[in-house]
Amino acid sequence: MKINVTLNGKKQEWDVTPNEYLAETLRKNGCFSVKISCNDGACGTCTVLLNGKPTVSCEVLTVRADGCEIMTVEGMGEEADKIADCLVRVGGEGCGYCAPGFVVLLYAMKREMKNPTYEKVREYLNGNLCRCTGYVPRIDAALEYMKET
Amino acid sequence: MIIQNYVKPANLEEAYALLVKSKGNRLLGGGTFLKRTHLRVANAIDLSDCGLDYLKKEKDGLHIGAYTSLRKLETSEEVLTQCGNVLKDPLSHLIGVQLRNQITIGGHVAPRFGFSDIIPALMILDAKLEFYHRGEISLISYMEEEKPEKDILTEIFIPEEGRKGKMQSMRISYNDYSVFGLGVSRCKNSWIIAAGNFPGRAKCASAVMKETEGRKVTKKDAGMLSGKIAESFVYGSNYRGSAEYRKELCRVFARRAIEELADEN
Repeated sequence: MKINVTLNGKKQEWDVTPNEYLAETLRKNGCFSVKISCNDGACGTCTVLLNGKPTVSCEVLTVRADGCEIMTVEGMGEEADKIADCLVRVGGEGCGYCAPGFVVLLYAMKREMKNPTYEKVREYLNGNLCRCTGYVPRIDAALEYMKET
Repeated sequence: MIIQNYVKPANLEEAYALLVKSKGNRLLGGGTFLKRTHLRVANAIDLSDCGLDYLKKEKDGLHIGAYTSLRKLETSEEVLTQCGNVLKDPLSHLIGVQLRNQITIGGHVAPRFGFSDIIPALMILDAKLEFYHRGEISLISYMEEEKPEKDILTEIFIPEEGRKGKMQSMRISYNDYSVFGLGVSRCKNSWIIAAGNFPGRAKCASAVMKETEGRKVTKKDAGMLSGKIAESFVYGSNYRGSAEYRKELCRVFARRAIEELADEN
């Protein structure tokens, strides 16, 4: 099936099968920031923005993305660098495997919530699992990023 | 799930005609459960273009389109105002924000998932389901049906009747499915008691509901009624918890809920 998407601001046409998932398709199309980990929707590593909403791409059939705007870390430009700086400053980075999903989720949170409390930040980010950092520095990094203009 | 063909009908009429045409045709909800089934589907029907993504607060209550995401419900002021934490709590614990952006309320309710504590929460809110072909049916009756006919769930309606409720559940971790969940609600002298994850699909404690119908229930009755509620379900064991543990959770949740909702004397 042929579908049309806007990936990181660029229009593309993809030829996909009905059983293909978005995470695989994105990697096939050069978005290697999208990592597949649990492949079950639980870990958040493959998070991308689908029409502006954070979504686990391993659980989205690619055909359903027809006509949608998709954003990955590759399309975030300076914002991704800002988040990376915050993570580095507070020691919120470990092996880095889950980082792209976390960066996308944090980017979405900043656009969705105004002045969230510590608890709200924790709640929002709990769909992104990390086995290195123990979460505390990640929340600190998120709060740092929320303060940035 | 192995999908042979993907179809996106423009309206419900087309979607229903296709659904009933063959046994192998199935509806897609949010699509987050596809990998957990081994079905072979001839036509996977996507209802995204059928106008079912809406949330309307009207005089009679909340009208929720079946394709509304759980995240939209969780963050809605209208839902919070009418349902309090009864619906918000089970919604906000389901995995992460990303998955809740994808899961649709219709796709969660229609298959009657046994792990859900959103379903018992909707049951105690006396929710009604609107199907394309068969019309309106209460969620409680739908859950009791042996094998519901193939149809399209179009809307979930939560009536505004001043029902007060309490939904409680036990989880091993914050954003996991619950081990067991129990909801109790009250509107004047009409009580609804529903539980889920026995494991198994959600059920009401019908005998206790009949016993309390029209009768004044006071806080003193909490001990006696909670025992009866705990006895009215059949529990099972799995890796999340034993049948005995679930029964004890049920008794404790029921007592707490009745103590909170019942009259003083």
